[in-house]
Amino acid sequence: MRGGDGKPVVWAVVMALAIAGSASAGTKVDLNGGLYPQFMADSSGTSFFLMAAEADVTARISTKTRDLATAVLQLWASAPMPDWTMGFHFGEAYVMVPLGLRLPSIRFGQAVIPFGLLADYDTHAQIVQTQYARTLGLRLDPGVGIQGDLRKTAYALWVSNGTGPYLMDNNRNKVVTARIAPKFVLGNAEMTWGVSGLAGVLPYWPVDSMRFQMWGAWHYQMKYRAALDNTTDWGPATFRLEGVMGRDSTLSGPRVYGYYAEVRYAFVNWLEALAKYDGYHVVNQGSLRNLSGGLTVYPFKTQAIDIQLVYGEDWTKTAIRNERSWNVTSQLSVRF
Amino acid sequence: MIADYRLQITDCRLRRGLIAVMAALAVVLLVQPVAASLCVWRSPDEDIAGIYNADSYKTVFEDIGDSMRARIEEKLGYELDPDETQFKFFPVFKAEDQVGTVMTHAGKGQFGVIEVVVAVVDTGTGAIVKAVRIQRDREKAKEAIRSKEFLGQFKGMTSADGFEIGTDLNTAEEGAERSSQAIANAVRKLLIVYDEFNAPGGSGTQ
Repeated sequence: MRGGDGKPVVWAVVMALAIAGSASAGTKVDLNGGLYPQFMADSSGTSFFLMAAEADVTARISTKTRDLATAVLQLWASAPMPDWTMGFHFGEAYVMVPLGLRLPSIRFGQAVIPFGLLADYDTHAQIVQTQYARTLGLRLDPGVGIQGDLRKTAYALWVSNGTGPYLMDNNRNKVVTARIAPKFVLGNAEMTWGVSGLAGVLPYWPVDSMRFQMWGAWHYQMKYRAALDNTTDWGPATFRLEGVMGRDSTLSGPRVYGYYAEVRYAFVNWLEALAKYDGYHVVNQGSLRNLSGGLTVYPFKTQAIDIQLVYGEDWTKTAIRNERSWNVTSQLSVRF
Repeated sequence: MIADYRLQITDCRLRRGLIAVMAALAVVLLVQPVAASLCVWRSPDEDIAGIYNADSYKTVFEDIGDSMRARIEEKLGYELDPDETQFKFFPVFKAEDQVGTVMTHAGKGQFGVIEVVVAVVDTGTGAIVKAVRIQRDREKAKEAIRSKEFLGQFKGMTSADGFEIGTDLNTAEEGAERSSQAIANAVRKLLIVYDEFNAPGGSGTQ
C-alpha cells in the first residue's frame, strides 16, 4: 500500500531539474522556507525537537503580458514525524495555469483538498489544526482541478487519487471535491461562507484507531462528506467555524459528524490569543474532542517570526477507551 | 512492530537526508534566496476589472540590494522591515499595452496585518496612485478604513506628497489614527519603491 515511498526523492530530483531548467530559460525562481522547532510536554514527559524545516520553491513562467504557469514545490527535511503525519503538513507540489481574467485557473499536482476551512486556512505551520485528519484522513492529495473567483464568490473543483501525498494511486476510484464560497463585508465584519461536498475512496481508520494515523492508512473506504464553513474577521477577532457531516462506506453506512470552532483575538499587533473546540463523532462507535487555548506572539517588527504556545485537552470516548489527556506545545516559527 | 518502526525511521532519515542534500545543492547553485513576501494579491480579477478594466496581468518579484535598501530607507525616513528584501509588482495590460501596475503590501496596523493593494499609473515621471484597496485587516475601524472617503484621498498622490495623518490626510475615523497611518505608510512606501525600480517589470510610461 505504501509503494510510493520513494516519492520524496523523486520530488527532490524533479525540483532540482525544474530549477535548473527554468533558471537557464530565464524564468524567475524564488526560494522561501521556514524552521519550526517545538517544545512539547504531556503526561508522559517533555520533549524538544525540530518539527520541520521546509523549503518552498516557486517558479513562474510569464509572457510579456501575462503569467502562463506557476510551479510550487514545498519540500521538508529534518522532520521527526512519521510520513503520514508529515504528509498532513508538508508536500505541496503543483502547477497552476491561469486561463485569464474572469476565467478559472487549472491546478494539477499534489495540493490541499479544497474542502471546508482547508480551502482558505493554511494550517501547515500551526499547532492548532482543523478537523481534516479525522473527517477526511488527509490534507494533501495528488489530482487535478480548477479554481477561481466569480466576483466575490470563490469556487473550486478538485479530482484526486484519495491516496494521500507521495503515493501511487492504489485503486480506480477518484475523490471529487467541490466548494463554493461567497464573501461579504457587513459593517466591521468581513465573512466568507463556504459550502463543500466530497465523495470518494479515502484513507480510513475506525474511531478508536485514529491515534495510529501516524503509521499510515491501513484501509481505504468510500466516504461522503458535506461541510459548511465560515471565516469572519470582525475587528481584531477572527472566527473560524466548520460543520461536517457524512457517511462512511456507503450512503447507508455509519453516520459521522464533526464541528470546529476557533476564535483568535489580537490585543495589539504583536499579541494574539486563541481558543478552539472541535469534535468528531461516529454514531454508535465513539467520539474524539479537543479543547485548546493559547497565545501567539510576534516578538519583532516582522510577521516572519512568531512564537505559539498552546495548551490542549483531548477526550476520547469509544467502546474500548474512555480517557482524557493533555499537552502543552510551544513552537518558534521562523519564515524566510 | 518496534523493529519495523526503527527500519522505517532509518529509511525515512536516509530519504530526508537525500532530499536535504538535493535541495541544498539546487539552492546553492541556482537560486537566490529571498525573504518571505507574505502579502499575496487575493482578488486580481476583481481589482483589475474594477480599477483598470484591463485584460491581463503578470507577476514580477524584485529583490532589493543593500544600496537600494539604503536609498529607500533614506527617502522613507525609517528602516524597512527585516523581511522586506523583495517587493511584488503586477503590471496590468489592456491588449498589448501596459495601463498600470498593482502592488501589495502587508503592514502592521493597530491589531494585526493590514494588506494594502495600491494601483498606480506612470506618466513617465513616476507612479501616481489610481486606487487603493484593503484586501484584509483586523482593525476595529474596518468599515472606515475601507471607505471611499478615506481611501479616495490617496488618488493622484505621488511619492513626493505628504502622507501624515492629521496633517496631509484625514484619519479614517477618530481613534483609527494608527490604522490610518499604517495604510498611508504602506502607500508611500510602495510609491517610493516603485520609483526606485523605475517602472518594474513594465515598459515605463502608461
